[in-house]
Amino acid sequence: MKYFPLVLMGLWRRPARTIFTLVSIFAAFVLFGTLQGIDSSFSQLVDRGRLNVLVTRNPAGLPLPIAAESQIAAVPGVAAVIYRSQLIGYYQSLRNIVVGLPVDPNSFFRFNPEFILPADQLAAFARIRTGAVVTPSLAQRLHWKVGDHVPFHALSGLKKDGTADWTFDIVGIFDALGNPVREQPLLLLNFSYFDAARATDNGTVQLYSEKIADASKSADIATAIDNLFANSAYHTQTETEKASMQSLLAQIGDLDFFVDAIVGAAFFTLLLVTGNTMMQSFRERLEEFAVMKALGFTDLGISAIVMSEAVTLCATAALAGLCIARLLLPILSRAAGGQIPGIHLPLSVFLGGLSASIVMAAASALPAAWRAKRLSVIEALAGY
Amino acid sequence: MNVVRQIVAVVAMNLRSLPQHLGASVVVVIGVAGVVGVLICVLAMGVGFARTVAGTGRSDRVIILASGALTESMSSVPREAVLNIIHVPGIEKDAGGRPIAAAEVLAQIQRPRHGGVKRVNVTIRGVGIAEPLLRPEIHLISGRMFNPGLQELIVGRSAEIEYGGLNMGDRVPFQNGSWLVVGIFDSAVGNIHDSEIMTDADTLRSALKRSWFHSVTARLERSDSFEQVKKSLTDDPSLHVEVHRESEYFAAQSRGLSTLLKFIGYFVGGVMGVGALFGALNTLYAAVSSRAIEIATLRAIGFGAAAVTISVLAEALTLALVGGLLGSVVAWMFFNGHAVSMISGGQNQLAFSLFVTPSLIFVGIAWACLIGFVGGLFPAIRAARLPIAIALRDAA
Repeated sequence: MKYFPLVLMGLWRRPARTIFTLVSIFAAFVLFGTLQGIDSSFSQLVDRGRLNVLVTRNPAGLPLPIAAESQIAAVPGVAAVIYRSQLIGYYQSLRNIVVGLPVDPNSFFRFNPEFILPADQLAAFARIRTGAVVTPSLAQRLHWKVGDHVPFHALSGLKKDGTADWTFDIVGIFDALGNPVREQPLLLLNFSYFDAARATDNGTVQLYSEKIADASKSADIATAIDNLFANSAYHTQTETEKASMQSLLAQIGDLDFFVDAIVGAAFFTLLLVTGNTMMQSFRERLEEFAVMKALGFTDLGISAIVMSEAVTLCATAALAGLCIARLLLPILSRAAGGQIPGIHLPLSVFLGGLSASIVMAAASALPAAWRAKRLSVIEALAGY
Repeated sequence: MNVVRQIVAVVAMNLRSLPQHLGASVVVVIGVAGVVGVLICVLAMGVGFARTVAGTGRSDRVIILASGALTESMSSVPREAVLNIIHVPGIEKDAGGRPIAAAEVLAQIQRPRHGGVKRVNVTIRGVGIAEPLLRPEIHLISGRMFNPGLQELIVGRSAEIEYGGLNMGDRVPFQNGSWLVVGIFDSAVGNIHDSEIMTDADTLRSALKRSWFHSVTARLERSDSFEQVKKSLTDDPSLHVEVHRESEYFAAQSRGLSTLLKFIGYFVGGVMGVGALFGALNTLYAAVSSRAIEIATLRAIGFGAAAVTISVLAEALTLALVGGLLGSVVAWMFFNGHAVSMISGGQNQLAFSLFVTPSLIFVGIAWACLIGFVGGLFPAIRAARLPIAIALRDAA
């Protein structure tokens, strides 16, 4: 530690070069943080998937009959069942596309206790047929508040009156503290009203969710549910919420290949840039290192100083880059309309990035450190 | 003339000495190559996607959706409306006087992504018996057409390659049935149908127990019958449909994701470009300071500041250009035609290939030149401003 000022002075010997290298590394870590942040936000979504919640849907994408609810509820081991449908539409302009989820108000909030809706608002939601509740992020984005009548133009199907225009009354705002869902633009609607008013698919839901008492029995219970409908037109596929999130993510496709390729290309370049800087700065200071050795610094001590310079440089730049990525991600997420929930830079990526920067620094400083160790005092001073 | 000769002389001298500081030069070349390679690949993904989607539409076809529906999968057209729609004047008739039009229905089949265990949703499209006349670009490359009424499928070539268990003769479990793959088709132009599975619309509809269709696609008598068809259909108050020229519909469908890919390409290319730019600045400043004596000598024997400035810029541009070409060649050789599969328009997969066009190579090279120019400019100015006397005295 007492040699740290020496390390800093070594770095600051040519401020321009140090700053340029810093910016290069910084850029690479902004990229690393942004891309890995998005990637791991997706995998965190899977981690949040519950093992004691099952999801039942038709693999061909067909709606399931509402009558299945009581059949599913009767399956041994199923503690609670909820369903939901889907209404895609927009508010005012196509820039504000929102996916509405028609649900049964009471059972939905009983099933998901992490969603907090004041009791009077829940009562209003259950009572008022045209009622709707939203997440704070959606309310904020569309400037909705409790008491508003909001027109909603549906894109995914007509009403019985031949129009696609719905009006909903915002009766509540629900939150989920510490859950990325609160960043999502969620709009919950009354299923009974939605189902009665729509022109097609009446009496059907998009999917069922079941809460099971014993998570270790999930496979058996899933099979039992699927067996109920095995020979009907609406045969089902039941899996845990976690597996369901996983298959949802698999749909995104081959993006992870590109994330890895880009980060790889950026880091490889970086290795060259830092290695080059370290070598340049080392060559300039051959005599200084020789003098230090003559004064009694050990071979390893000199190598350690060279190494520490690289690590300080890389870690500083990486820290700055990761911080910027952390600030950038919510902005990018908002620019994407918040459709992808909870995009942020997790601590694991942050620490992973920092360790990567240290490994990279060590790798790039290796040639210079090696030569510093082998440096012969006499030759270096004679050259001077 | 004198100035030009000076410039040529100094530039030539600089370029000839490049191999002597190979290490530092390689940093610039590889740095720029990485930026250009990544930029071109991501943009090529956008181009490949846009060509595949937009290439599906033809101006002599129309697609009819429920009014307000953004995509086929969001649309629903009641069965009773179909006859009214396809008999509207302006729609082409076949030899037997039947309209060349079909009401189609979509669903999804879960298939493993090739070589993996992850299951993805592949579109299955129920088409009409007029299919060969309606979409003449689609032709079977092996096997035969499906028989209406039987659970038989024909599979697009990209779907066969990208997703598992869709080869000739395979049995595909779907909706309580076991559907037989009887043919493989190809659209020649590489459009979205190549990622799809097709079967008879009524067979599919009965397996799905659906009473309605998603969309109606029809051939126009003449390309300019569009307005006539559109007017008759939208004026009919019982229909609630809207009519799009197919080419315009698919062009609009491709816009969202290709804009996003363009944004990602330029964002990543921009951030990486900043990194490479500062790497280049470093290298060239170092090159200028290591050559201080050489530059001062040149100035002392009468070479002008312009010649020195341009020589440094030329060095930077050469390195960047070599990097840009290297990146382009790598992107083109390894990733042109590279097949990817992604979610598109709803929940289903679209397989398409990266498409490296000459204009993308041009963008990449321009990006490289920009990095080279900015990265060389400041060191070049430094070189021109080098105080001659001091540089020479320090040398002594």
